[in-house]
Amino acid sequence: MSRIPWPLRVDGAFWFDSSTWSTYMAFVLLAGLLLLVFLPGTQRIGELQASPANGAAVFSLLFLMIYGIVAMTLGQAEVEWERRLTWPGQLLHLLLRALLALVLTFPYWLVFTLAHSLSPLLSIAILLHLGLVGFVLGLFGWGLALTQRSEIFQFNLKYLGFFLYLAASFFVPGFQFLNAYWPLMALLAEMAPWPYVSFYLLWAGVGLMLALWTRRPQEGRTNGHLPGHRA
Amino acid sequence: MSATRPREQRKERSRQPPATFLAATLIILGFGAPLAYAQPALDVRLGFNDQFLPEQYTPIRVQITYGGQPLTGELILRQVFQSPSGPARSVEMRRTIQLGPRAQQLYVFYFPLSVHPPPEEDGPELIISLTSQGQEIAARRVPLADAARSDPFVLALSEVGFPGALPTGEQVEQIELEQLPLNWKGYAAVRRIYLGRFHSNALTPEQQEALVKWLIRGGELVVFAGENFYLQEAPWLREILPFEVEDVRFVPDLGAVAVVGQPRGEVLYREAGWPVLVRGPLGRGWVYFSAADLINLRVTTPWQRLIPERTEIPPPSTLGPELFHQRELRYPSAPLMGGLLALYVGGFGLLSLWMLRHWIEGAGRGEGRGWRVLLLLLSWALLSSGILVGYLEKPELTSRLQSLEVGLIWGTDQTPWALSQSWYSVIAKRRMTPTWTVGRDALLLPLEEASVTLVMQRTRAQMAFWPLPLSAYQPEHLYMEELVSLPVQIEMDEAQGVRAPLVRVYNQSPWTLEEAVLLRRGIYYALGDLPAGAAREVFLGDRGSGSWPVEMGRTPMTNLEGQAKQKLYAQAQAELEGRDPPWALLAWAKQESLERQPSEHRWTLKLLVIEGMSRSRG
Repeated sequence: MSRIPWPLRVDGAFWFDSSTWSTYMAFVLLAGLLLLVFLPGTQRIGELQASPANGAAVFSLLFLMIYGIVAMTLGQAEVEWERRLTWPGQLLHLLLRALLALVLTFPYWLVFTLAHSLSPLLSIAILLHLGLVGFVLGLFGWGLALTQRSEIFQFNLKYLGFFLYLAASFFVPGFQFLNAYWPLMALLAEMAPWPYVSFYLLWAGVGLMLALWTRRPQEGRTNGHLPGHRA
Repeated sequence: MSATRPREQRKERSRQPPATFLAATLIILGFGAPLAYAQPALDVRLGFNDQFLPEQYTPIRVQITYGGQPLTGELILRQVFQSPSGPARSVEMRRTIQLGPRAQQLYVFYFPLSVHPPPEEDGPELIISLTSQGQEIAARRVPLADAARSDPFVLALSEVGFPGALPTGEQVEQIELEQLPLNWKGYAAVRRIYLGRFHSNALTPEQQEALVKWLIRGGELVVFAGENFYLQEAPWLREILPFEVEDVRFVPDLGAVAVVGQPRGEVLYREAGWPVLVRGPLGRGWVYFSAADLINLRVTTPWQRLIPERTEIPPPSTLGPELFHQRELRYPSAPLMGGLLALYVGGFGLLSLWMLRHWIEGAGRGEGRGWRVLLLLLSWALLSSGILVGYLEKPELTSRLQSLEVGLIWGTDQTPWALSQSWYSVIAKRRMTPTWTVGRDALLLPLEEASVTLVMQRTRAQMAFWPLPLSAYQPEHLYMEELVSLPVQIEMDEAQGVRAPLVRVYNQSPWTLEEAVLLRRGIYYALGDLPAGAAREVFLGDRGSGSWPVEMGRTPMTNLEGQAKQKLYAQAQAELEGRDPPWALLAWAKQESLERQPSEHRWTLKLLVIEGMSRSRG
């Protein structure tokens, strides 16, 4: 056992437990359904419509939305694992759980890239992008749980805040560099990622701020049960 | 005195230009003049007499005057245009050039000019630029709005004045020898050429070949002989004339000097028994020979025989797009994908539940079993990915570019040239720039409303596809014509006594001729497959049938190959019925002319038709 490197030398609940299993299951099921619905169908070339509203773009947007919610939910669940962020243990735990959700959808992205004549290697780049986005959203979810506010408050802030962020940064000119969807589109369109460096820098900055905030001891700030103890 | 003299001398000196000023001026002029001359100047002449027919290849003569250091550069012709209903399109031609010191060089391009303006501009224009080492060193914008005409050119070559309007109703543009294209593409906008009092031997070998190739493609040459024949006579012209010339003399019945001899084609008009107007086919075109100069002849009837059946140049057939539109853009099967994904999700659900019960929250609370959990999950995801990739890795599903290349090769037993018509239809799912080799003589035209950027060099063409990110895809269609050498020879020996007619075919082409048949008097005689380099003798006995295998049944074919064969054959049959040759050879020629791109799914097929125009040996 000692030959197995950390973080594999952990107990099974490190990856998921009964409270997070349903999140993973729902995510895998929902993302699979979305892929099936928006996978293009065989068409006669003469009947192709020159419309930009394409299933592939919708699938990637919806995937980003549900993954963002999953990441925040996993972040909220972290509070039951540990009441404050520790390096590397707790931070890595959140990151790996967020990544596990993506790894489980790796076959979907493989199908998506191959069906759209993209390189299968692009699946990895897409998962890395989503991993970064999800990690920061997970930190946000964790921070939200640590506020110890009511479930309704957390629910509203989580969903309303996330969708408002996506919509505002999508439509409002000047704020589009904040949107996590545009770099994803650039990846799928095989465009150079350089115009989106500002997004990654900003996103990393937000993640660092959230990490610093959650790193402070959050004494007596659990939501119904003792902090620092798993249920 | 002595004090004032130097002052006056100084005044006088100040009135004269100082030596330094003169020297500076001379230096500036000395350096400036060559510098000014070093700047290349571009002089551009369009089409014939500065007119062009839109959407047809037009000769464009670019003369560069240059006096600087030797340089290697690129001469680029570019037109961006947008029709009222279509997307913006760009066509570009590039040629590498080398300029020596004090050079005055002429470059002739054949460019398909459009009459539509660029997006958000008022008038159409052609941009000519000269670049060297990536820097533009000269440029010229040529406005095109006033140079466009609506009807094809009827040209006249004559050293004396030629009427601008003929009794046939044709408006004629008289041109100089230098204006004759060096490439048959230059005649794309020309319907007919009248040859009057003109020194035919003055044509360069390139001009002669270009003219003959254009005739094979479908052009018309009208030779007004008579007294003019003293100047016209040239070996290349005699070879294509439908008339065996014996003498040139005054013919009292005609009241004019006329060429006397034996007609080798259809006599369209006789006067007092003398053949005056004779017509003979050359490939898909026609050569008219008037024994006397009709301009000076008082009879008008021959002119009526010269009235053209149609006055416009027909657009290329859309055979390729029609076939391509029937083709499917394939994606993974939804039911199969649904089944595979359900298996994956179900498997994950069961596995994870089992792990929760036994390894995670079961006895021992999963102490140190994290690696097993991860390994099992990763293995399941990888196994499922492998199965999915195994199904998806098919060219028709994953290829970025799908293409269809169909064509017709038309030859006759008269000339060693054959007209090759090809239709390229391409659809790209992702950003691509497919490049392929084209003949130096190839005439390439975008069909339908293309949105692709087409870059043509002398022997290569390139299409740039920029599909919008994840948006629907736009098929692009190109039409290409080439005059290719036809190394397939056919000899026909008519029946003698009890012996059936004998046909000999020598296939020296690089193509395998599949399912070859000889069509003679409505009967198809099967010749079988003729591999490249093979020769075959076949007696046309009782082996004939009333149909070619493709035609059999006449039911619409469902597969692509069947559809393509039916369409190509229908087009060939319609043209053969129109010309009714004594015999014709038909075969499927498979060749690879579009360069294979990685991740490209393509399909090619060509129909070879060789018509027997000359008489069989009996």
